[in-house]
Amino acid sequence: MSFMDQLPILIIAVPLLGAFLTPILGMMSKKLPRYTSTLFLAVSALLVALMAFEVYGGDGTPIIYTLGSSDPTPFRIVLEIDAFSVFMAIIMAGVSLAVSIYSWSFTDKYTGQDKFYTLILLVVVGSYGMTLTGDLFNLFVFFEISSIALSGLVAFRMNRGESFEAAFKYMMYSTLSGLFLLFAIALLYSQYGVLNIALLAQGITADGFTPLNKVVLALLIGDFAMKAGAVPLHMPSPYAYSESPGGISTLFMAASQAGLYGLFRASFTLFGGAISSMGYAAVGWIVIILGVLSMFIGVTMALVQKDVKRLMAYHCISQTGYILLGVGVGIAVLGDATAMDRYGKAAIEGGLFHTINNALYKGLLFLTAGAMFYATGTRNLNEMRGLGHNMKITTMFFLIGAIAISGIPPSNGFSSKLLIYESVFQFNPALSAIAMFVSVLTLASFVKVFYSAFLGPKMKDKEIKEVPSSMIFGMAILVAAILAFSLFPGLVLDTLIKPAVEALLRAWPIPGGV
Amino acid sequence: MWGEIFTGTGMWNAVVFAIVLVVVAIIVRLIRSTGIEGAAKREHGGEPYYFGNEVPESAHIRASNLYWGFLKTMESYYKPLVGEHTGNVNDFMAWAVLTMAGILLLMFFM
Repeated sequence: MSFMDQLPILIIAVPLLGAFLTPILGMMSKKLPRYTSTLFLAVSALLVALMAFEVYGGDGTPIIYTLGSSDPTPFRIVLEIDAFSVFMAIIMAGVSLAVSIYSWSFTDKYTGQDKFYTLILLVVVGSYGMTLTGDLFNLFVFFEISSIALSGLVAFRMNRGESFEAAFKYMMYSTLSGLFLLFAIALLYSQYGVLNIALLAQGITADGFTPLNKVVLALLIGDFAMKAGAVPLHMPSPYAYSESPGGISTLFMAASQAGLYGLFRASFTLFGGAISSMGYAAVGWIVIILGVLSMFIGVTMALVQKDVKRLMAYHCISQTGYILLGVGVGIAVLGDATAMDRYGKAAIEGGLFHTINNALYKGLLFLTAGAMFYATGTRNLNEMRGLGHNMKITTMFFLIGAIAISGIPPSNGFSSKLLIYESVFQFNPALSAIAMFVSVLTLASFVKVFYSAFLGPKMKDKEIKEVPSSMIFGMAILVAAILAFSLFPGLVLDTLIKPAVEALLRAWPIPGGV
Repeated sequence: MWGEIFTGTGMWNAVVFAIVLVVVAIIVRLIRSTGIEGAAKREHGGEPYYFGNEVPESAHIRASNLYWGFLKTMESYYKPLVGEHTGNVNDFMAWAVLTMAGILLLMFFM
């Protein structure tokens, strides 16, 4: 087998190897883990890029990799990779690299850096595994790896009781969602005797929506919505985001998007055949309801926050709502070919475009929030003012992120929101109106942060300085991507998003053609 | 075109919008250049006017006080909403179970 044939497993194996090596390297030097872990993340990002060229350059057929066998078979550990899998892996690759570089300076004053970077690598392993696997049980295993590593990162600042409390809350919720997922997998295994997603999809499509299959899909939607932090399953997210050190909030957000991956994979690849053959719109409406609740309650809760990271956490929930709304409309019209062509595909495209945009600008905003904390030593907006005098680069980066998240043209946030507004309007105008109103409230909320933290007289009790260059560089990576995505949305849509949507709508081939 | 997207009912071109922004910026710059040169560099130039006094720190409105009117008007919406975010893990679990039950009901009866 050639190197390219081994790419799928290497994407997971490289950061996993890094996670094992980092504590050993940490014994040699305190600073070595930060550079080696970044190197491992850069190599895995490069492998993701190579994989993207192969998948996006192909005819749309997923790449199947069977662990321990040169012949594809559905009864081993199988990785099945289509454009949607790679799309999600690209998001994690870019964000994790930016977070790793950003953390060089941020973690300077902390001990236990080897553990910090080990946990980052494990989160990345979990997210890559979730998005690349073709086996439902492996998806559960990677789901757990990601959740446990994230809990460790949330509790990283051991001198703060609040960090432990937030980690405990997140761990309890992750355990519950993991149990729901395991229960759903057990129900499927008891019916079909297999765990391969393609084989399961074939069986589910043949049986249709039996009562047991409805229970399975409900459990899958619920637990992936918990991972993604959709309202009303969002409760521990603001605690976990706000207590995560520096760039970890950004990594947290990208890892939460793996929950969205699971939700969409379950709705399209696993149950899509059954939904479209029966014209079953309830699934789509459930996702839409979760989306609207997340959008509205997320943004209104953000407006009353004074902790900058907590405020941004609620915005993260709100932006997840947009994604759920767009893709939910696509799921709702799965059984209606005319509606799918007229606006369903555009809605899913809008949802997926918003996923990558959200990772970029929300990631950037979390990093700027980390920079504000680094400079002032507080997350309380009431105790900040005039940061724009001394932190000009951070201020500019914050403005770019705020413009993008508020959907102000010509930002990338506007492009994806426009796709969602116009396609959702054709499905139900009221939903589109709610989405637009939420954008207005988003802008109002970021005007509040900008005014209270960056404008006004200087803080006289503290000497405020711009953050170190590695933190600036980490933010600059995301800024560059935001600007590129803002100016060339057509290129992103045609090359990245549309193939991912086509992959979502296509049934997976069964490994080995069983 | 790299900058163009089609939504199904309309289109959007980011590059054209960006060019328009640049043109507007040039016009603004031209208008600004007609002002008195070096005004901002004079003593107290460019500083906010506060009745001839130095701007006190208390003049800056704190984050909690911004949108006070809006939040006061929406009190009946916010009171139960904020109240539900108790921070208690037991409540979180209750919400998770209730939501799961709601999804199941919708799945069966919708």
